[in-house]
Amino acid sequence: MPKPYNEASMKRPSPIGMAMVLIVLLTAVWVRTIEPTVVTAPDSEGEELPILEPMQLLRVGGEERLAELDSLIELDRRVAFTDSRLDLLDLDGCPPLGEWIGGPRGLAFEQCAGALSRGTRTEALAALALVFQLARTTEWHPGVFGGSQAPERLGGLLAGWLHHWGETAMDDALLYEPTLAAVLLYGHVMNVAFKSGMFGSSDVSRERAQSTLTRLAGGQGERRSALGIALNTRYPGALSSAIVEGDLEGFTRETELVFPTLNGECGQ
Amino acid sequence: MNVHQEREDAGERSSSDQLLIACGMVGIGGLLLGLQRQADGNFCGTGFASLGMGAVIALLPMLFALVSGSAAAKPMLPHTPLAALSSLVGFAGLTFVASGVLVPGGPWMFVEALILLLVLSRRGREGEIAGVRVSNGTVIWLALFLFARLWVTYQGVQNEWAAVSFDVPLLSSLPWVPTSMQVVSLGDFTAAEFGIPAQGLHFSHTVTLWAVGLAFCVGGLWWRHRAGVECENDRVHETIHRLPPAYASLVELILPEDEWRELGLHGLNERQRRKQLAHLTQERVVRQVEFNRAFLAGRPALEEGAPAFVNEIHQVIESYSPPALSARVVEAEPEEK
Repeated sequence: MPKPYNEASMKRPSPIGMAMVLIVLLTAVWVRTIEPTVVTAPDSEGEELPILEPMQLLRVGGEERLAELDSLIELDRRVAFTDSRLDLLDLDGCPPLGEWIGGPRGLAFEQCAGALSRGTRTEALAALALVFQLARTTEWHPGVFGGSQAPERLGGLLAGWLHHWGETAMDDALLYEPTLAAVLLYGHVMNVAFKSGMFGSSDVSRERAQSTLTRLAGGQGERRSALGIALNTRYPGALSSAIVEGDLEGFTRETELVFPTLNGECGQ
Repeated sequence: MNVHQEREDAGERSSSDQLLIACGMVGIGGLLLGLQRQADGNFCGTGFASLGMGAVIALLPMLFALVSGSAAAKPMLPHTPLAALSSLVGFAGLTFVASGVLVPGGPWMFVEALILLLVLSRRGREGEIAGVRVSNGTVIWLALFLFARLWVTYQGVQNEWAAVSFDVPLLSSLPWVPTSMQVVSLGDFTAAEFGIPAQGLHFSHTVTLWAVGLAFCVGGLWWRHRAGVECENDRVHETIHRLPPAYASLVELILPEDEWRELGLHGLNERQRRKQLAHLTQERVVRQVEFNRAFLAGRPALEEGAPAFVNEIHQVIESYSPPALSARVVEAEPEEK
């Protein structure tokens, strides 16, 4: 006898399975709407910053406000800080950084900057302001025939500060912007060190900068640190090829725009 | 015993289960292709621009297939909820694959989309994805576009906003020459154009997501196609086996399973399938009868020294001998007249 036609004899797919496939399909479309995380500077959340507009300390005219920091420095470091800022104010005629920092006043300055870097966040800002002031009032560009010692010395001061504050400053409304500026100047200074000499180049400087920037910013194409993300957002041209190829030209381009007087020749 | 019971007895999944799993694979693949991992570890979407373009690319070749080609190449009408879901997944899957290989924005996307549209609209012979015939050349184009997308994404991750940059000889070796004069860049693009988030991409994780997503999509589409054919074959099989067993065997003998799709038995409802089966059976039987008549009408004797080809055909024809059927045909012939 022929089997009667019975639609129910066909195996029906599970309605739950079909519903799940539909949900996965809709999710596949929905995920495309997920917006990238917005990178923002940390908020002071009502806390009054000890220094208003901290970036002014790093820009031209910053030396006028350095005295405001005196009262915010711990007593045992205050005298050294005051002496150092006054020494910088007294600098005339754009002396070579290498010579000045090797002298008694320069050595005291270096010790003061190091001590402040290891202090509170306000002292760290004071240390950075001193280093920027030093970079603005001394000659560290090697010119056509010079070596890489002077920019290397300045780069060393910035690297020391960044090792202490590079990562933690990204959550600090006071130090966020100054830290990005410090990385920018560090890359620029090391680029000058790399390009010292007429035909040669200091690969050691470049490799050192590459290593320091990788440690601070995180690997390119991999998970980046908060500092790397902030830098990439604020100065996207700076990190260009710096991590992978050690090309620091992006830092120089950005620094020339943001801090035109920090050219190693006292803004001349 | 119906075909599903046979499969269960053999420990196999039914074709409808396989179709459902394949559809799920396409969905998961599309989900992975829609994500990218930011440098801060969070996930974000790849946006709708390439998805929309992918949908256009998926739609037009389907329309071409609808208005041209053989019955087997034409999209089938879904008669069950599962078939409807499968059709939707086929379209979505092709959209996901196209959007997965296209660069996510800018004029390049339109150039790539145009090329893909042209190659997908050409009818290939080698295979099929979601009702669209796909040739080896199309697969090569898809692979090239995927490579281009990965390359451009990599360049963006490196903050190199050009497709190609190369050093100028001599100038590039002089450190005091500005970089703008040392390097020549071609194919500039922006981060926003290519959907690269401001904080950058975690390249290795993102590429892994896309590669797995693409594998799931393509694998799912392939499986869906095979399971869909099997599902339709099962439906034809069910219809044939509603005949008495002796007739069912004869029909399956005269209409072999691997021809069902080409004969237009897929994508029909039960009534249409029965009518089509009856029509095809009659057609084949008539052909068989005609052959028998011609066979019995007499055949030339093999000449001495005939070529090997003639000899071969002669042997095959002479080996044919259906006495019972032949006798019935001969007897029936005068009555028909």
